[in-house]
Parts: sequence; C-alpha cells; structure tokens
Amino acid sequence: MQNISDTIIACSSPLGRGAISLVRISGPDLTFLSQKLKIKNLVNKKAIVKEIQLKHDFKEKCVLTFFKSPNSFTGEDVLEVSCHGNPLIVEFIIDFFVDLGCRRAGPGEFSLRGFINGKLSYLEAEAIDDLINSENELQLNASARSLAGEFEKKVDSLIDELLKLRVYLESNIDFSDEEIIKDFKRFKKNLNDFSIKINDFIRDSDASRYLIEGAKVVITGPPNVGKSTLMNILCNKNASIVSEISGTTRDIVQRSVKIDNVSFLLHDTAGITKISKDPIEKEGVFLAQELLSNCDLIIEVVDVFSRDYSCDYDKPVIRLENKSDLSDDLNKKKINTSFLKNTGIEELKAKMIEKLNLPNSLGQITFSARSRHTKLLKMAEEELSEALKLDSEDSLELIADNLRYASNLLGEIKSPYTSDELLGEIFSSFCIGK
Amino acid sequence: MDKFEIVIIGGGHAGVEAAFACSRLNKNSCLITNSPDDIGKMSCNPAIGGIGKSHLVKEIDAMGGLMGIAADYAGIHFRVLNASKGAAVRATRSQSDRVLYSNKVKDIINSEHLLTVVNCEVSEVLLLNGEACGVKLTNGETIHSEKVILTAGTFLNGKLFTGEEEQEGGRIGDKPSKKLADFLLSLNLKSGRLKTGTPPRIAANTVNWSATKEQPSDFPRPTMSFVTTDKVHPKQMSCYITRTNIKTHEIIMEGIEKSPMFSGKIEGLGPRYCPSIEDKIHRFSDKDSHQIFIEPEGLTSKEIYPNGISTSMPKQIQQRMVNSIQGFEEAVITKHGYAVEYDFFDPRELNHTLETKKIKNLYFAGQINGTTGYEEAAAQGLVAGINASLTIDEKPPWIPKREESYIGVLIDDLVTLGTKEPYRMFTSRAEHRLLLREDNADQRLSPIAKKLGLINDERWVNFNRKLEDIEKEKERLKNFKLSPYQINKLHKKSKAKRQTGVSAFELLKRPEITYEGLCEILNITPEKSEIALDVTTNQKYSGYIQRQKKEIKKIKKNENALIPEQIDFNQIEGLSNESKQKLSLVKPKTLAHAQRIPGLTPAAISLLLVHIKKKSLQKDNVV
Repeated sequence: MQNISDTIIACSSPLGRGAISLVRISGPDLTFLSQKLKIKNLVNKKAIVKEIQLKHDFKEKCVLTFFKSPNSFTGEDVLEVSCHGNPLIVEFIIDFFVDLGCRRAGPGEFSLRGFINGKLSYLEAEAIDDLINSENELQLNASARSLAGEFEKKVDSLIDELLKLRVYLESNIDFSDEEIIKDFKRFKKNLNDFSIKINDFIRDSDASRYLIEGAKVVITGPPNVGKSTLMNILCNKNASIVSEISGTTRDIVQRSVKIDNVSFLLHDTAGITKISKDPIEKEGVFLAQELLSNCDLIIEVVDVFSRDYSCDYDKPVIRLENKSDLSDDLNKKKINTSFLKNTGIEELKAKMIEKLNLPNSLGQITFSARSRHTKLLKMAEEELSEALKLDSEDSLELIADNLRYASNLLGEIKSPYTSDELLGEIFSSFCIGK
Repeated sequence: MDKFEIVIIGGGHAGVEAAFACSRLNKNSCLITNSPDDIGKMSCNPAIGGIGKSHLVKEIDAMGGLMGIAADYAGIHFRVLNASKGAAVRATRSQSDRVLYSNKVKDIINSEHLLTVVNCEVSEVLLLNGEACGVKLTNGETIHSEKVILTAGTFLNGKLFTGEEEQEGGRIGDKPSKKLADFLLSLNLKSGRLKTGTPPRIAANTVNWSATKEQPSDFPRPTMSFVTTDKVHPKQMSCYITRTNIKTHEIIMEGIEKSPMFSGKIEGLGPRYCPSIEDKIHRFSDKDSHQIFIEPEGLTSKEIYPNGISTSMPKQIQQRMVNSIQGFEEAVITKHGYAVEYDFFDPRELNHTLETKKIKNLYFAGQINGTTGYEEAAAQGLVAGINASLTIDEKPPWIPKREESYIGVLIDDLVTLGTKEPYRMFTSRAEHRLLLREDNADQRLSPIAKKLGLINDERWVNFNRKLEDIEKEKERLKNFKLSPYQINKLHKKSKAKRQTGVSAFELLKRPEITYEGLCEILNITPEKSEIALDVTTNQKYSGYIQRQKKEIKKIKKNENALIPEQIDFNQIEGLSNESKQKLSLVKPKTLAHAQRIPGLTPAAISLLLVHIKKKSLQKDNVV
C-alpha cells in the first residue's frame, strides 16, 4: 500500500488541451511549499495569482487556491494550481513540484486519503468515481444521488430491517424460558417479505449497474451458426462501438454497445464450445465457462441445421435460431433470425432489454451500484433463500446463522473488509488525480 | 506469615475455581476469605446453568473445574431448556440445594493438599516496583506471593438498599470490603458502579401450592458434568410457576418513588435482562402480568426463592406486593428483597489472561470485572488461575479462543468491549455458536486441559473412549445402505425415489430424518444418547460447520497479524483522537482484536495497518 503521509501531486483535470488545467497537491502540511514559492502564508480558501519559474526559463502565471486541513477533499492541506490547459505546461508544473519534494500520486490516492481521513465514506468514494465516468444524464443523476447518500440509506435500511428479524430469532433462542412473542409463521412471512425487498433492490442495482458498467452478455452456440455476424450486426446498426478489445482473452472478443440507453458488453465465444485436447483451446473453453457463470445474459445461437444443440444455463437466456431463410419449418419457442436478410434483429434487441428485467423507468434509479455491490447483495439473498427453506422451528439456530451471514454481507457493502491489499486494489481502480 | 506461590482473595465462585485450578497445576496457593463457612455460597438464586450459562459450566468441567460436579451433587431439579430446538442452543438448567452445593465446594477445596484457606480480610495488595507481590491483611500481617488473584465480587464498596433504608454490605449479613476498595481506587484503575438485586424469600409452608403450576424435573435427567451420572443427584424437587397481576402492579406503582432505583439513590446500572419487578412494570407498562418461577432453596430449607420479583422496594410494599400474587396470599416473607450496588473495574484494562495491564502479577476475576452470574465468575476464575500458574512455570498463557469456547467469547468480550451493565452470557454473543455446543465442550477443551495438566488420567481415558465410540458409530452408519423403499418409509415426502444405496450416515443430514427413525427401520440398537447426539448433530449441521470453519480460517490470518507491543497508538498519523483513545485503552495485540473494538472504523484499521507496515519496513532498513 502507498505511503499516506507524504505530499502527493497529480493533474486532476482531463489530460489534453483546454482553457485551464488543474493540478492538485495534497499533504499533511504544505507550509514548506509556501516558503519555496516565496508566499508569505497560504490562507484557507483564498486564491492568489503567482508566477512560477518553470524549466527552460519558461514562466507560467498560475492561480493557487489553498484549502487548510481538515477543510479539504482529502482532509489534508490541499493546494490547487490552475494553469493554461496544455499537457506540456502541466508536466512542467508537476516536475517543478516534484523537485520541491512532492510525489506523483497513484490512481485513487486522493480519494484514499479522503477516505482514511474520514472525509468520505467508501460508498461516496465509489460514487465520485461513477459520477466522473458518467456518460449520459441517467448515469449522472444516478451517481449524483448515490453521492448524496441514497444508496447508502437504502443499504442502511436493509441492515436495520434484517436486524429486527435477527432480534426475533435471538430472543426466541436466548430467552425461550421467558415470555416473548413466539410467532414463527409471522416471522417466516416477514422474512419472505424482506427477501422480496432484497430481490427488488438487486433488480434496481443490476439496472443501475447496467447503466454504469454495462450488462455482460455472452453469445454462445455451436460453430458456424453466425455468432460473430450477430456481434457485428448488433454493433454496427444503431449502436456505437465504444471499445474493441480482441485477442486479449484469447478467443473471446469483447465489444460494448448501447441499446436504448443501456450498455451491453458483448462477449463472443466463437468456436470454442466443443471439448478439445488442444491446450490453447482448453484454456478458451475454461474462459468461456467462467464468462457464462459471471454474465448477466446469455444469447444461445443455433441454426436450422443444429437445432438439437441446447445447453442449460443458470442465467437468463435468449435462444436464437438463425438462417431461418433456409427453412420453412420455424421453431416457435425461439427467436427466428436471418442475419443475412437482417430479420428478427429488432425482436432480439427488445428481448435483450426485456430479459434484463429493468424497472419501468430507468429514471427511477436513484443510485449507482457496482458489480461489487450486486455481488454482495446476491450472496445475501442466497442466505435468505437458504433460511426460507428451513421450515421448522427446531432449526432456529441455523436460520439465525444464515441471517448472520446475510447481515455481514450487507455490512461489507458499506465498509469492505479492510485488508490493506483490498483497500489499495479498490482505490487503484480510480483515475489518477482523484 | 507464610509465603505462597499464588494468593486468591475471595471464596466465591470465581475464587474457588481459581484456587482449584492453581492447586491442580501444583501451585502452593492460599485462598483468603473473611468467612470460610461461606465458601461456594450461592448469594443469589439457587440455580446453575441456563441458556449460554450451561455452556460455560460444561466448558469449565471439560477443563477439570469443580462447578459442574458440585451442581450435580447438589442438584435437586434438572431441566433441558430449548429442548425442541437444535443441539447448539439446548441448555441444561439445575436447581441446587444451597447447603449441599456449598458443602461440596468446600469438600473439594479442603481435599486439595496444596491449598490453604486463611480466614481474614485483605486490606491491600502489596506492591514492589509496581508489581504485585502479596497482600496485607486487616490484622496487620502480610502474605507474600508471586501472583495475586482478586475475586472480590460485590463486596467492593458494597451498599445494600431496601426502600429508603441503606446500609453498607456485600451481601445481606456481610460487611463490605471498604479498605481494599479504597486501596484499589488509589491505583488509578478505571472503575464504575453496577447494581444487582434479589427478591424477597418466602416461608415455604405459607405458600398455597395448589394455586401454582408444578414443573417437575426432566426425565431422563441431564447432568452438568461430563464425569458424573444422575446417580449422584440427591432427591428431586419440583419448581412451580405463578404470575403477577394488575393488583400487584398497582401496589408497586403506588410506592415506586420510594424505590431507591427511581429516587436516584442508586447510580449503578443494573442488568437489562434481569430487571427488578419495579423496573419491568415501569418499562413494559403494557403488560399486566409477569411470570414468577418459584425455585426450591433446598431439601431441608424452609424457604423458597420467587425468581422474577427481584426488588428493593420498602418492606411493607414488598409484603403487600407478595400477598397480591396467586398462591402467595398468606405468604410470609422471611428475608426482604434488596438491591446491592458495588464497584467494578473496567475489564478493558485487563489482558486476555485476566492480568491487569497496569500491575503485573495481579489478576482480576468475577463480578469485579463487571459480569453477573456464578458461571461467568467461575469461568474467569478458571482462566485467571490457569494463567497465573502457567506464568510461574514460564509456560505460554492459555488464551481461550472465541471459536473454541464460550469462555473465550466471555474473556474477549470483556477485555475488548468492556461493559456498561452487568455482563451475562448469551448464545447470541458467540458468532460460532453452531460449533460451541454444550455436549461437545469436552471435545473442544479436554485435549487442552490434558496438555496443561488440568485433568486426571481417568477422565482422559473416558474421553478417548467416547471419541472412539463416536468414530465407531459413524462407521456403522456408513455401512448401512438404505433402499429407496426404506427411505420413503422413513419420510414420505422424500425426493430420493431414484436414489439407491444411500448410507444411513448420509441420510442423517436431511432435516426430516432422525437417528431413532433410522435405528428402527434398520432394526439396530441405538448407541448411548451422547454418542447419537454428537453423530447426528455433526451431520445435520455439516454444511454450516464447514462454512464456519472457513470463516475462522479467514479470521486467523488477521489473528496472526501481530501489533508490536511497544506501539504508541497516539503516533499513528491521521487517526482521530477518539480512535487513538480506544486503541490505547484496549491495546489490541493482533489486527483481528483491533477489528473487534466497537466504533473503530475500517479507515482507522487501515491506518493502523499502514503504520505497522511502515514501522516494520523502517526496522528492516536499519537491519
């Protein structure tokens, strides 16, 4: 993990040309800078103009704004240096301060310091990251509300409700010889209601995650049925290619598209469904299976010649039968497409949105959730459904154990387990300068 | 006077367990009490065990302690609580004959050759260079020792309250230890006041029993110890149940401002879960009746103990209140109820060995650490006694773990969380509850006890026989394969229609299949109940047990991340003052321990971690 007591510096505005760039400096005590800059004293929340002598006799007139600890984003002394928006000037300025004893910040180091100094909760830090990465209004609104604490409030209320359920159980176990309300049926009903509530929350979180991170879709099926073509069709028509990473995961091609404002991360597992002895292909099969168990939606493509091909998945699945133009006998249980004739594609797109089980209006989503959150929520939900399976009162202690785990999992959303590696890892997914 | 290796102050449940442990570990020790007759006396209700508490008793017994044995020899009523629930939360509760209990404890203590009982009062702990080295008695004499274990119970600055009457004392009829209390307060240990109370005692022959509900002893009768059988139990007596009513509540409300609890005379906080009757009526004003459990005081006693109406109301109100209760219309009070308020010391100033952090060689155990209950006291006495002895032998301490015993939960809770009200054990305090069953306390602890030298060979042989029997039974059940027909007969809804050859052992995992049912359909003789219970429970819990073990492994990592002893928490950069204070008070030794301190944020923990890493890096650089 990084040093957290030295002075760090990074450009906090986007790299590139513009009117102004902002370089941010944070450290426990920045008075050493004022001496070196020959400024009498830095005054809290006051901006001053200062000409700084940079490399190669280059001078830059900067605006320096000082925030005294603890009244800053990081909770430390913070100096913000505004200069002309040129990457070269920014580099010069950073070099200048590095010479004075600052260190170039790693990703997320400013947020990490803010978190460590109690200036922002873990969920807020994540929301800031989402806010900055928002690409449309829906995302922006959702992450802004998350930052305002909507998500945290929701998690808190779930934790509270779960606590009440646990109180019922624990008092029935620890005070059974005294008089307390024993109504197992009602408890089971409350537990069931709570589980529905968590499920709704998971649905909303998933939806918000699709907004922020995109829904993970895997296209699978036997070879030569048109999986790659489908990928291209989905990407080229009415969709924008955001990124194209090929070969990084061997035979798995990944592309990001948007359909109706929802991001989809498409994964093509072309030609690797058969069992193979080739070690490289084996690796490919392994990766494909990984993907299948971690995705949000599966599109299984077959064609009229490979109708018998069908696999079981434990994720939502859309089954396509391609090359419908080559047969008169259509399978009514599947979506019939002809990639060649471009039929059935709109039906598929509608189905893709439908299968994600989004709330009626995406505008209703009042928070930004990440896969880290939904993963924990789903694990908690599994504990609850395990508990609901236990149908007799003599298993109270087992139900209590399931609920204890569920409660720990919900708690972990708010404050991830603080092993230092994990913390460093989480914050390093942030951009430099935050 | 003489010199001993260990001096134990106090002959209550903590003191006797500590003394007995020291003596079993071959330490020449001395138990000092100002009333030897009262050794092992039950000052509150005559019951041992109960939910969470019986787990402690079985664990003390597995470590070779005396509480379980004494409870069996004195037990006149036994019941299994939570009998309809799973094995982990089942608990044994026993009523004792007070006289038999105290006598059995005295017998055990007196038969220890290395243990001397001294009849005197202690006024001071002797200190040399800030370390304890013996005690000074009120008669002016001194006793030197290497270790001092203090188990002063409720006697430190004890005050008794009945209505507006107030007197000094630790128990009715006993003087408080004022000099010792003053001395301890001068040591600058953090202290506070707590209170507890007792109900009025009633003459048994004035109770109209026919108006109450009888509750006989269970059959078959459980035991509190692993080494006894129900043959040692004396004659059994029943408990009875009656209730308060609206009239009772009216009488109490009339006089409530005269209760010392409400008039502000008592500052100490009482236990929330064992409240006085005036407290209950005040707090649960919507309830118009509370249960009273009438406990026999003993085979020869002429008194009964009405559990549930602990009170410190004025005497005449107590009389009217009692007479308003069904069955007590003509009842005569033999001793009035009273509240006792006493000093306790913040247990966060103790190490996990129960040695005080400030004064080396001085150990605190029992109610002085803010707990309530005989079982909690005894468990602490055991831990203090064992650790005092082990350090004399220069052996590593025994720190019971949370995942290993309720004793571990108790000690860790006390030294980490401290307490604001009298601390009582509950099963919900143990996060690894499913592993910590009453019936497997011997499997969890006896190997440790054997290693430390706390149990004798006979017990060890019997214990190993039990383990063998369990293994044999598992093998036997694995060899029986059931046909689908048999399975369906056992459980009609079973979905195992196509399954063939499932072993009886496997089938036990299913919630609906019982051990008895299996034995019947296979036409085999069932094993002894303790063997059957162990095999069955481990199968029923198997998924949960595996998961808890995984969780424990994860925690272990942080349990192994040591915090250097010489660390100065005040020097950790970025840490809030509140966090600094908390860390400095508890002085956690491992990262996992620090994580259990309430109110320490994840951010604070990461700062602590960074600090330790940085320091260890600096050290490496120097080398």
